[in-house]
Amino acid sequence: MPTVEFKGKTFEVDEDGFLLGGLDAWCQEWVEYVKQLEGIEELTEEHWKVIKVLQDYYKKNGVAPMVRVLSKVTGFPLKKIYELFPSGPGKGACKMAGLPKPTGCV
Amino acid sequence: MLEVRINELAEEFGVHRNTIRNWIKAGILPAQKGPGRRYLLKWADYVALCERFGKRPRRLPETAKEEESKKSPYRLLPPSTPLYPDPSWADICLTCGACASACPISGVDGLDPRKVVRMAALGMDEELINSDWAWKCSLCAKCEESCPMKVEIVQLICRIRSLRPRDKIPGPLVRGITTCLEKGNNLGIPKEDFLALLKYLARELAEECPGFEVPIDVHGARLLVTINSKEPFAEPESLKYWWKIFYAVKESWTISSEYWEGVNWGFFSGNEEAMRAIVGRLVDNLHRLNCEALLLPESGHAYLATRLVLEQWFPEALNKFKIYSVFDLLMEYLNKGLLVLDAKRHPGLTTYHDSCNYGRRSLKILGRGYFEEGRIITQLCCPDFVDMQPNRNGNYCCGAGGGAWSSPYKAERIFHGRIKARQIKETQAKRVIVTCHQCRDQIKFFLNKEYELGVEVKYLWELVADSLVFDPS
Repeated sequence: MPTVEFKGKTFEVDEDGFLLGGLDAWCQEWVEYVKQLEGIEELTEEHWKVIKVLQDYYKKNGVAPMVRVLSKVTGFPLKKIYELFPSGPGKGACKMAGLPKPTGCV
Repeated sequence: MLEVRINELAEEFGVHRNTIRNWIKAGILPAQKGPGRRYLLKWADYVALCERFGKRPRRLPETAKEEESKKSPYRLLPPSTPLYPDPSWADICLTCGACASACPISGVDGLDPRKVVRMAALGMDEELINSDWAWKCSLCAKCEESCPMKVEIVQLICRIRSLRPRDKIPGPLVRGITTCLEKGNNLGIPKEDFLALLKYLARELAEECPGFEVPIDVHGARLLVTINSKEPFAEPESLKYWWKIFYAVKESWTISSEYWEGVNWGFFSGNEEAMRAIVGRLVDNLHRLNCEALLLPESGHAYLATRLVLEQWFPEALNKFKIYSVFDLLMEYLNKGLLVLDAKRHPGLTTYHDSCNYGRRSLKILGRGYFEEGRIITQLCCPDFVDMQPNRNGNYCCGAGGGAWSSPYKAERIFHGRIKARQIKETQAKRVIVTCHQCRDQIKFFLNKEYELGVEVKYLWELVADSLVFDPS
């Protein structure tokens, strides 16, 4: 599997560039790496809120939540989530939060 | 070796084609399957068959002798080649290259359908199995459609896929199948969340359709409906299209609270066991809920996979339950006069994209392709209509079929779609109607952006739902 290096850290990633080590390998540097990758200018409290909700749900259920659940728990409408993560909740936000890529036709 | 066709043998021995097929299946007639719907039969076996029927052999043994002598150079190759067990099959392909010129990804990784057929004939199995090309192919069957010798190229590519070591298959496909088998749907949506979402959406829809409720696990409902997990996960609004139609026609329908997945990725990876397990769950639901009919999944691949599995492994379910494709159901509603559609809500030139699985592949594999139904329904809603060229059986793939949508070969998928994009552009249509989730997402999100199409893309059932005129009574 390919690896990426960022700020002295090495990450193993899958074919789509998602973190392979899961939440154990997840760290501040990974977040900064995905921020740069996604072209996000500045990380705000709102980004962190989405990341936290995704990780909490993942720890409980082993999968990423549906968009409606993410909206409901964060209080952000879907449009807002797309503003925060331009490539969307599945590809952008899940990647930054260290979750695996959702495994459906999304 | 004799090269035979089922219908020729059937005629020769005065039996039905299926009888010959059954003999081959049961091993009574030891024939090997080859490309182009031909079988290879040993001269001795043919003579034995003639003797059993008291007939004089009509065929000449010379062909067999010729084949024997031609065989020698191939003996240098590995003794048994799992892709093409007999090199005489190589003769069927004329190497004309029609397939290679029809294939939108010819040249990617230095391969094309003709090379793949030749490599298989030469016994280069390992190279083929290890190459990613078979996974970049969208299984659209444009190559087969153009082949003058009817070589079954897609079947060969599926076989190459199925022989790939399971740990070398594109990761997303494997993870999707595993999640579906373990958790009941590809995205692993928990039951509790799923049911809460459906109820929430139903309340929203009830504002527009008074009294609407979503029927979950309703025993004795006529129609069982599946759901593509992508919809509740990422686009819950789109679930309402069918719901609105069911409301308008007063259908008796239900969704199962478990095993409702309408996606079947076993079809992409050559995992027959997974395909069977996923369809088996739908059959169980039909029995458990005592339904009369099944609406086959919407996405092209899942429609075809489900129907194939039903035919192969659940023939009793085919007899017991009425099986609808999305086209069959919509046409039934229209023919019964249950749907009233407003043709004024979608002005502007509209075109229709043929899904390869509903059209070309379905025609080839099941003997029945859906080409006209989608056009009839589209034109009832969009009278200003234009067809792409070529269309129907000759249509080009969107580029995202065969699992390409979920595999990590994004650049190839977009490259593949360039011909589709050109076809759309040439129609000058401002709207494209589709019948498959992958086609829709590929055209709407990728071809629109990469090739600056600027078209609106709608599912056929979305178009119907948006054109519905509710009976004032």
